[in-house]
Amino acid sequence: MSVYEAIGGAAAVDAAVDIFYRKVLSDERISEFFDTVDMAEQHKKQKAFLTMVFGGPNAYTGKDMRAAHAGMNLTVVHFDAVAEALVSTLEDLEVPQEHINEIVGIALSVKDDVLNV
Amino acid sequence: MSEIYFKRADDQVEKISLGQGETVLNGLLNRGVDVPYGCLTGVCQSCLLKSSDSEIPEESQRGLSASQKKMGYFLSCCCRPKEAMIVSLSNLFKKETSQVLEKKILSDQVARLRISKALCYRSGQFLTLWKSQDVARTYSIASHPSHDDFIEFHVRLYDNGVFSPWVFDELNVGDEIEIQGPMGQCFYNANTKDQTLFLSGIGTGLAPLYGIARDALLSGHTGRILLLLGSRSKQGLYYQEELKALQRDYPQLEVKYSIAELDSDEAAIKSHSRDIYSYAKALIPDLAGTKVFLCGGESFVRKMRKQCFLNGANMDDIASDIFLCFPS
Repeated sequence: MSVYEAIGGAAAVDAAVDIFYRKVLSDERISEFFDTVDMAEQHKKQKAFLTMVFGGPNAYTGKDMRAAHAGMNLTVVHFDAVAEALVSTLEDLEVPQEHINEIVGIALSVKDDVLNV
Repeated sequence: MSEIYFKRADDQVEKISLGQGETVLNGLLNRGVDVPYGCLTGVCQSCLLKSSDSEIPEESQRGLSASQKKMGYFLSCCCRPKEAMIVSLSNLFKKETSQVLEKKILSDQVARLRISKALCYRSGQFLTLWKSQDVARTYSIASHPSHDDFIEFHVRLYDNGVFSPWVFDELNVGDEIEIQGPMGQCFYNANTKDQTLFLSGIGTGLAPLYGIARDALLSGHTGRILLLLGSRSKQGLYYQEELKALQRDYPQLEVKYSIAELDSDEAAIKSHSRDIYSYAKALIPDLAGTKVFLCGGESFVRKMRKQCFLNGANMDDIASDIFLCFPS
């Protein structure tokens, strides 16, 4: 069973997305990146992102992650902020540590693409 | 360069080449095809066309319902196809003819327009009103579909506009007006009757909010309904008597005002109410479990939506309508 299925599939994404996005918007290290984007559209992207890192069915590729974040001059500080928001969301939802580790592993696998290095 | 194949009403197909970055709407208009259109920004849905067996660009279906998307409807003003597309006119929203029943000037800025009920709708949705064959604007609905035998709009006057001065100066009771719709997802849809509702708007954003609040109350909503209205000045407010009357009948309704420019005495007393965002926070600090309805200009809706979300409202529980102002 994949971690996506283990934590509850699409319902887990639905439960996590508002908590996660709220944490991202509240984090001063990264909130300014979201000032000009349409919240509803961004909310959908956050959902797609969570589906991906939960190991669920998604259409994201490394190339998409690279293109989506190109030209934003992102650094490891920004990546860490999102990763922390992700972990803290999963902790709020009482996801078992082994699953959190696996999810963080998937998030780390796209780090270079996100940072465009 | 891409091509579209336009299927005319007589089933003849016409091939039309689009320039780099040209929209389907533009291409058709340039070829003399009479496509109705309004806002040109993907909101009013007047320019809705239908496509079958073609790749439809995602951005041209933004804001459409799942079933509209599935049926291949798209907004031609936002559609810049990369591949060839087969398109035809849609008859999803037929124009209906309505009659002006009443026109009342509520303030120097706002007129109330009531027209005959020529179609079905939900309070808070919006309709496209046609001034002529090529000029249309959308207005939100303040009336109630079963308790009122008219459709009511609040028209804000823009001196240099092409539509609102016409409503103020030329449109008369008895005149016919073509309307189209309804559109929009901003209407009363509470999960339970005792849920808290937070409604906030600027200016004629009151029209849909008044409709939604009344719809809730007439549906037997018992939970707290907080209506927070913003205006730059006291003169911008209207409908205060109507709101007071509604509050007398329904004590669960609270109405608060935030006025940016107060004269000095009032400012000293009500200084906390000058900034609508901090006033909203003070009135309702925790929005977890609350349904939120926001109507007004783009910067207001965006800022208030973000604040409401950060204060605990679920994204799916925030309905909003952005009022656009058109260049004349």
